[in-house]
Amino acid sequence: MQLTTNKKQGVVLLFAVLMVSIVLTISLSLLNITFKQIILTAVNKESQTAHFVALSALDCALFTNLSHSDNTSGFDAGDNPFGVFISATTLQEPNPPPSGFSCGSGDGLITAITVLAPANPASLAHIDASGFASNATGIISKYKFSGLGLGSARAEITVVKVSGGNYSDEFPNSDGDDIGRTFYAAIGFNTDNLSNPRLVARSALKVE
Amino acid sequence: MNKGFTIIESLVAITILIIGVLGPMTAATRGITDGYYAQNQLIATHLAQEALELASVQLKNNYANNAPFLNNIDNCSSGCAVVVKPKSDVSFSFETCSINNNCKMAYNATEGFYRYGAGIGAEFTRTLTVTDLDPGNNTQALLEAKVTWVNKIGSTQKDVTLYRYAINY
Repeated sequence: MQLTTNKKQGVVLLFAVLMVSIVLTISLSLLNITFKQIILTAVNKESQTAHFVALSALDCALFTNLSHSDNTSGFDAGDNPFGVFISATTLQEPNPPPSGFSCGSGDGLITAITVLAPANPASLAHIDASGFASNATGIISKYKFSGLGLGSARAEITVVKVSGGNYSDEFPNSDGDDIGRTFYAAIGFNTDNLSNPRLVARSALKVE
Repeated sequence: MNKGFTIIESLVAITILIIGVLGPMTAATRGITDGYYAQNQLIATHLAQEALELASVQLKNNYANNAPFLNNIDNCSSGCAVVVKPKSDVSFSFETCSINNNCKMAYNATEGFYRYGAGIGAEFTRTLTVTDLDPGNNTQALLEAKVTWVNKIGSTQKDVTLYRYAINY
């Protein structure tokens, strides 16, 4: 028996497979690019959400501090959740100890719960990001926010009241003597899950 | 024996081509749709941001000028248009949607930015809603900027909404 072989067998099939491979590679590359575009634009949106959450938390803390003041003395009321200035240079622990506070109402209700309760004035010595060595004493407290129709977005704020020394040069207009000042550092997050790989954080600072 | 094999081979090849190209075609279509979505989402986010920033500026201007907390923005309780004036006159105002193309905006090539009215590309609807959270006391407000658009492919409505809590200080 004589076997005959045709060397052209399968050429069309091979060509088809090659064509499909090329088209598939190009298509997957394009899809990969657009997928990255979507991630980038989503990050931009999430970043804006985090930014406004941080600003909202900052405003809420500022409002709470202002609304817990003593109109007679011009200093703080005894239940100020961030610590009580009874004079420009004297701070006290709030009474009763705060479990949190809230701002707004209805759909605009923001709730803050205590993460680090304000304690009696203590040393706030540290070296900040700019290399400034703080020698301040005061009260530090920290709160976690939720609400405001923000879905799973959240914010945290650290409020520092200074009764002695200099606390930081990182904040705007904070050079020089920080006695009697209150520092607000808010961080907004796009999600409540801090281990989320798509987590975006934005911060906002204020001194008054 | 080999006669006719090319026909079978061609049929198989055509089948492979059809199946093999359908997938990539679907992927390419999806890619184009997603590309449009990404572009429009980016624009919508910036439009929403602009509205919130301008509303915040208005509140701060009111405080600085000793004007009522929600002065010039109190007509936004059920949604309003944030109208930015042309480049030569960097100012803004908060007006009812009915006199601003029902809050629908698009890219104005002449002026180089998005304006209420007809324009190029996708059409966005931007509304700012201001809620007085402490009526009568002028202390707190909730600002909500919502931008919606209809995807060019698929005709589905998408939206971006940003919130900002603001106080009177």
